[in-house]
Amino acid sequence: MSRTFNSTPLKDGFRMPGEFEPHKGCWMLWPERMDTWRNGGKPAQLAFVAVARAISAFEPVTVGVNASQYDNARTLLPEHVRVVEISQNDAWMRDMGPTFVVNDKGDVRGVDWDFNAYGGFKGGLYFPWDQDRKIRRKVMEIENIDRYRAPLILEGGSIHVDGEGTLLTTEQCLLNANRNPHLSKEEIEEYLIQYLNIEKIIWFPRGIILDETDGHVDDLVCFARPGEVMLTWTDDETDPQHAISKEALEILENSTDAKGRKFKIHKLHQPGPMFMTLEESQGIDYDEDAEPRNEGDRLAGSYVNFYIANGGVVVPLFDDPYDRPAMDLITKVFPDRKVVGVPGREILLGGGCVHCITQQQPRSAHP
Amino acid sequence: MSRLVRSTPKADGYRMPAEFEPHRQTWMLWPYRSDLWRNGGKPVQRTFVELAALISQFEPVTVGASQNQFATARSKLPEHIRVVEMSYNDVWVRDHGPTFVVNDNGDVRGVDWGFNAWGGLNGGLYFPWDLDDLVPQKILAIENIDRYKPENFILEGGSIHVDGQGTLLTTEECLLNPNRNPHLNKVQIENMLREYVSVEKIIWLKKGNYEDCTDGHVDILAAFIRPGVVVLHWTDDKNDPQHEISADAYERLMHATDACGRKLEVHKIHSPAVSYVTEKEANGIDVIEGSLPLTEGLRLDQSYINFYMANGCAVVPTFNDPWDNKALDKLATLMPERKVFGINGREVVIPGGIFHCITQQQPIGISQSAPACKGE
Repeated sequence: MSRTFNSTPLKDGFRMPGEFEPHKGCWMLWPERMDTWRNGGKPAQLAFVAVARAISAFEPVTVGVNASQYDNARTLLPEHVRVVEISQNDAWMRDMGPTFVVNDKGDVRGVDWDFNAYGGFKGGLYFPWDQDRKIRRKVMEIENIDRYRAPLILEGGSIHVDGEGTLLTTEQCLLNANRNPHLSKEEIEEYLIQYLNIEKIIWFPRGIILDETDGHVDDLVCFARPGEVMLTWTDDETDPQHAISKEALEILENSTDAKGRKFKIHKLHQPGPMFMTLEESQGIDYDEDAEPRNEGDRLAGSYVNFYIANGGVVVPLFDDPYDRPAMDLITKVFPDRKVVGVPGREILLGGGCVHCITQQQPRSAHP
Repeated sequence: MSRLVRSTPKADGYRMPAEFEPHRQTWMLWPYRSDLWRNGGKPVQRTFVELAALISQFEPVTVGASQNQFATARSKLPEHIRVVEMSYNDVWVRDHGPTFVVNDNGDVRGVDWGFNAWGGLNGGLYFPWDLDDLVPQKILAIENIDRYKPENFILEGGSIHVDGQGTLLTTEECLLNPNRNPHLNKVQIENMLREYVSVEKIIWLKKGNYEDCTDGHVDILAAFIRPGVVVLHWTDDKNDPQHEISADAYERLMHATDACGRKLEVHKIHSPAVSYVTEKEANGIDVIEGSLPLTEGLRLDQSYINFYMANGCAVVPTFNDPWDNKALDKLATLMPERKVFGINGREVVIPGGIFHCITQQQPIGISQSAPACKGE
């Protein structure tokens, strides 16, 4: 049973935990649409399988699939990964999945945001998104988790929290006229406070260069633990990403979190830059309503888009000289977790990476 | 996680519990196909809501709903009923859903039988049935329950009833029908039942109800209400072809002993008056080549025996018939441990099943010895 409350998590004493807090499991979806995923989605499906397999070494994984792909997904995924039927327009569970909140008694509830495929008819990435909008509720029904319905368009990848009152986000996304144009910055902040139970919001002006989500924060910067962040970086001052990362660095250096702490900042040097090849582009269907994917498009590659699992970190790799330094730094920052690399390119071609296709469900005190 | 177990329930110490043993929850699916359910399924959806709501007062209920009907099902069903997305060709989760089995340690597993829509291309009721065949796997995945998959064996859950103590009731008309498992003889079919639901004694009735479109499922003819006690669909009208069928079943039951060596106690539950699909009802149903034609004048398979037992209750279909109250009274007397309710079954019975056919119990795993035979 999943009840829907008209209250808010703040009023009921629930908060969004940090990703590094204990999970019950991880949710994913299954890539299929041929105007996003090249070659009928087959290379991306194998990449998703690798991500699911890697995470499942640390915590249970459930993959939601469209009815038409049930047999195929069930066959390709390891048997210990749970496969359930969930209709979807595309496969970004970070953005379409519930944002789970917890209270001090170990109860878990979920926030069901509104969703418009990254901007609706003003720059959104595909149409329709009717099935995506129902995913959060279907996940909560399966898990018997009660629900808050938040009257705000929000993707899970556009926010990061430390679980102790601090939230990171970008103005480019949350204040974009294609998300909640009827709300002022203060009104949006109030929703974040009400539904995530946070006290301090650190706003970055922009996400990373050419990020088609309108600058989700989860490609730019993330928490490793309270007071400690990892920021995507480039030393190449001619790369437009340099100014974006530098701007974010200055904001972090001059900010304190909700507890009044200064941030410990790790610069995680980006891969590439990487570009879509002609062959890759030719494997993707053209659809007038979908984001065009052309040869030479710069890919929004970032190691910051890793997923933190129970006792592990799953990091996208790109056959890039910066893979090794990234793994080394992440291993140093997470000494108590096993750091595992997975192939990231096929996921990145669809516009996101490991963090974008995963959603943690926090552990509950009740089995 | 739901693993595929490459063994059999019997080999692993699992048995199918009786419906009257404790349930974790009830599964149902949501009706919508307009070539089976009149007026776009709207009248029958109300009956499903009434049934689900009633059962949910006694145990949790999960309803699977297809993509197109998810929002409607979610809004019509009470909030405390779980609604999950699931594709299916039609709603008969008794027949294509998993058969759950339990062991003495409190573990539960499921049997994922083959399904061919009651006869495949040789007299089956619709085509295709590809999504129905995946229903057990999907239910077991949601519940993280391990799965047995008998190879090359077609069986519908409504074609068997067990007493939980080693006895199984079924019909020759269905299980020996060449449109189910023509490659197996009776002994081989018995062996499959022994292996996959762990029974020792199989009581074969000859035929199911007159003009039953499932080829004579037992669950609308006879049912165990506890070990050793069977209720039987009956009519006193010797001109009704059903009389001969029920009389034959009665004889067989009276001469049978169960796995514990007991003689069976058999109670006749008189049938409601014979009723037929009306012109108005038939006009509300799409005609589609490949589906069973549901036309005016088709005899309805009305029977009180197709009730469903949940924890502490039994829900009996009624038909606005003078026999309704007699059936309810008799069943209430026979099952003093349960509250007995009637819900009008007319909208459900039109395509050919009633409440037992649209429900599937998921047992609760209990760490205890299997119920032993009680001495007479």
